[in-house]
Amino acid sequence: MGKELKSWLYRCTAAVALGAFSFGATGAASAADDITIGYYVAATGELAPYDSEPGARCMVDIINDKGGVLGGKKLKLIAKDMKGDPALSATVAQELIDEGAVVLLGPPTDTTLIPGGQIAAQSQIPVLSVGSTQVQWPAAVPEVGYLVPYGDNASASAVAEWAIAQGYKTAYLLVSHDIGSYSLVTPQYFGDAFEHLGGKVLGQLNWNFGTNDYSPQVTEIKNLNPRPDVVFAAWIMPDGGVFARQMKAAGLDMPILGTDGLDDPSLIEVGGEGANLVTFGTHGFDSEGSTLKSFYDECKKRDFTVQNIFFGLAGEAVEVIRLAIEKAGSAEPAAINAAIKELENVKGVTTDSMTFKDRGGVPLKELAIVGVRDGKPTLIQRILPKYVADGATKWAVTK
Amino acid sequence: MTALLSQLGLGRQSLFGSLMLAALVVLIGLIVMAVAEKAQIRVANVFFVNLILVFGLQITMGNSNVANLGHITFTGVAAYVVGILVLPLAIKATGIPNAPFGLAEVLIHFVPAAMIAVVFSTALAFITGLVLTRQTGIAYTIATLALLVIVHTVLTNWVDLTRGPIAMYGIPIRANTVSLMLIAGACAIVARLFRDSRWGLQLRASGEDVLGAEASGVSVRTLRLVAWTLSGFVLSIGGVMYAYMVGTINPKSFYFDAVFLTLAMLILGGMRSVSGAVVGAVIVTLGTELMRWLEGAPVIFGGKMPQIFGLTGFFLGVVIVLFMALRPDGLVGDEELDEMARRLWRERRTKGAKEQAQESET
Repeated sequence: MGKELKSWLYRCTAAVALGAFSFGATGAASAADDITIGYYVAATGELAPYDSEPGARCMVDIINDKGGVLGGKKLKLIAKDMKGDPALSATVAQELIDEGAVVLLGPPTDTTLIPGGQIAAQSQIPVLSVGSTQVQWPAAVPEVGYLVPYGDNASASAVAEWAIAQGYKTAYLLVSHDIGSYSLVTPQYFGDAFEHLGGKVLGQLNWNFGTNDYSPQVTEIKNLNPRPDVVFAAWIMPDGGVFARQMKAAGLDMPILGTDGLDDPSLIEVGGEGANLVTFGTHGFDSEGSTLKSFYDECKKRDFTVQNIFFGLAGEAVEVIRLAIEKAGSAEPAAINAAIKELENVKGVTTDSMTFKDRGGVPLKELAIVGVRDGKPTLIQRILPKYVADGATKWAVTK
Repeated sequence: MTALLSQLGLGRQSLFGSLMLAALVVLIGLIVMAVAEKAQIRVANVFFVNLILVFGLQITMGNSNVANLGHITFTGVAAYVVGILVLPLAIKATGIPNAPFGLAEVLIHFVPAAMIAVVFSTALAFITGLVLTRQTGIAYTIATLALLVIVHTVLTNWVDLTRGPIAMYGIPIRANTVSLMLIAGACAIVARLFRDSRWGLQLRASGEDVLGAEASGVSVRTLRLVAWTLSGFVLSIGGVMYAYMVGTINPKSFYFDAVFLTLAMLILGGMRSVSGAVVGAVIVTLGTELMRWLEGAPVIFGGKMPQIFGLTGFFLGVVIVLFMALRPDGLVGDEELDEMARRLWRERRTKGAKEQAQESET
C-alpha cells in the first residue's frame, strides 16, 4: 500500500512540477525594436481550414527581407492555437497582449473572435480576422474589430449583380442553420440585393450540412412551377459539389450560385459534370500576373505550402498592418488602429483595391466572380459591387 | 444539526472531508490569484468552471456507475437562459428582436437571472430524469446522448430566441476568480455530502450490483432521479458561470467537446470519488497548459523547439489511453483523499505498534 501511495505522490509531484514549469516560463523576450503581431489562430479543430498561420508568416518574412517597416524595424509574428474554443480564445489573446503584441490577427468566426476582441479593445489593440466574412464581428467590437475579407453581404450582392447582368430574373434560396451565420444569413443578403436590382426571389428551401443526399431539394426544385432561373445557397464543400452533381443528374441545367465556401479544388471532382453549373463570388483568383499569383509563387519559393485562399488572406492581413503602421508612422496600438480606419483604395494581396475608410470595419474590396467552365475554374470577372445588401447589425458590446 | 446529519447518514468525517476538499479548491484559487499573470488567471477561471461541471457529472456517473454523455445539456440550457435574461436591451433589439414570450423587452439583475436559469434548468433535469431513469445500462447512456442532441438541435434552430448558430454575445462579464472558486468549493461540498449520504451509499451499492441493491430494498430508480436532478443543478450553475465568464455563447460551446473534456477529467481522476474529480481537473488543465506552452516553440535548455500545433489533443488522447490501460479506476480510485490519508495513518500506526511489539519480544 505504501508503495502505491508513493507512486501516486510521485505522479502528482511530477504533474505539478511540469505545470509550474509551464507557468514559470512564458515566451522569450523580443528584441526591443521588433513590432509584435499576435495571431490567435485556429490551427487545429474544425475551423483550421479557414485560418492560415503560414500565410501570415510568409508575408512577415517577405516584409522583413525587404527592410521591415518604419525604416528598418522588423515585424515579429507570435501565433498561438486557440483550437476554435471561445474561452481559450480570450486566454490566448491575453497572453499575446502580455507578450507585447500591438496588433492581433484573429480566427474565422464571431464566437471565437469576440472574447479575444473584448480584451484587445481595452487597450485599443486592433484585431483583424483573417478568414471571417461575418459582418457581425466588427459590429460587435466596432472600435477595434476588422475583417480582412469582404463581408458576406458584399459577395452575395456581387453574385446577385452578376446574375442580373446575365438576364436572370427569378431565384430560389437554400438556407441552412448548420454553418453559423454564413449559411443562414448569406442567402438573405443575396435575396435582398437580387430584388433591389430588379429580380424576384420565388421562395426558399432548407438544407442540412453533411447530409450528402440532396435529392429531396432537387426534386422539389424540379417540381416548382414556374421554375426559378437560378438557385443560391452559401454552400461549403463537399455539399455544394454533391448538390451540383445531383442537379445535373436530374437534368436541371440551372445555374447554381454561391460564395467563397465553394472556392475549393475539390468542387470539380465532387461535382463532376454538374460542377460546370456553378458560379460563385470569392476573394480573388490567382490568374497569371495577379498580385495573388506572385505572392503564392514567392511563398512557394520559400518552402511554404499554399493550402487555399486563406493563405493569401493571411498575407493580406499582414500587408494591411504594414500599410497602417507606415501610414501612422508609429507602432503604437491606438495609432495603428486609427490608421487602419483611414486606409483607402490600397492594394492588397487577393485584390487590387480595398478600402477601410468609413466602412465600419468591413472593407470594400474588388472581388472575383469565378465559375467552373469546361471542368476548370475560370475567372469570369472582377467586380466591385455597386449595391451592397445592408449587413449592419448593431450588436455592439463595447462603447 | 447532528440529528439531521445522522438522518442523512452523514458522520463527522464526511463533513470534515467535504470542508477539506472545498478548502483545497479555494486554496488553488488563492495561490493562482497570488502568483499568476492575467492570462493564467483566465486559465484558472476556465478550470473552476470545468471543475463545477466535473462535480456535476460525478454526482450521477460516479455514484450510479453508468456512463452519462448528456450532462452538458443542462449547462447549455442554463447558459442560454441567463444570457437571454441579462442581455442589454439595445443588443436584444437588433440581435433577437422577435424573441418569443416578450423576452426581447426583459432585462433583470444578474443574480436573480442566475437563480431563474438554475431553477429552470434543474426543473428540466427533473422532468427528463423521470423518463431517463426508467432506462438502465447502455440504453440509459444512449438516451442521455440523445437528450444532448435534441437540446443542441433546439438551441441551433430556434433562431428567434437563441440567434441559432450565430454567437450570442454581450452577456455582461460577472464571474471572477473569487466567485468561481467559492462556487466550485460549494459544489465540492454538495457532491461529497451526497456521495457519503445514505442515498449516495445506496446508489453506489446499486452501481456495484443493481439486483442485489434492489433486493435489499434500495429504490434504485428514485435514487437515480435524485442524483440526476442534483447533478443537473450543479451543471446549471456551471453553465451560468460559463456565460458570465466568457460573455459569448454558442450552441457548439455545449456539445461534444465539452462532454468529452469533462468526462476525461473525471475518468482520469477517478469517478468514484469527488477528490478524483478535483485531481482529474487539475491534471488535465496543467497538462493541457504544458502542451500549449510546448506548442508555442519555447526555448528549452538553450535549444529552440519547433512549433507544433495539435500537441494538446494528442496529449489528452495519450493520457486517457494510458490511464484506461494502467489504472482503469483513475488516479484516486474509490477513496476520497481524506479517507486515504486516514487509512495510511492508521496503517502506519499499527505497523509501528507491531514493530515495537516485535522489538520488545526480542
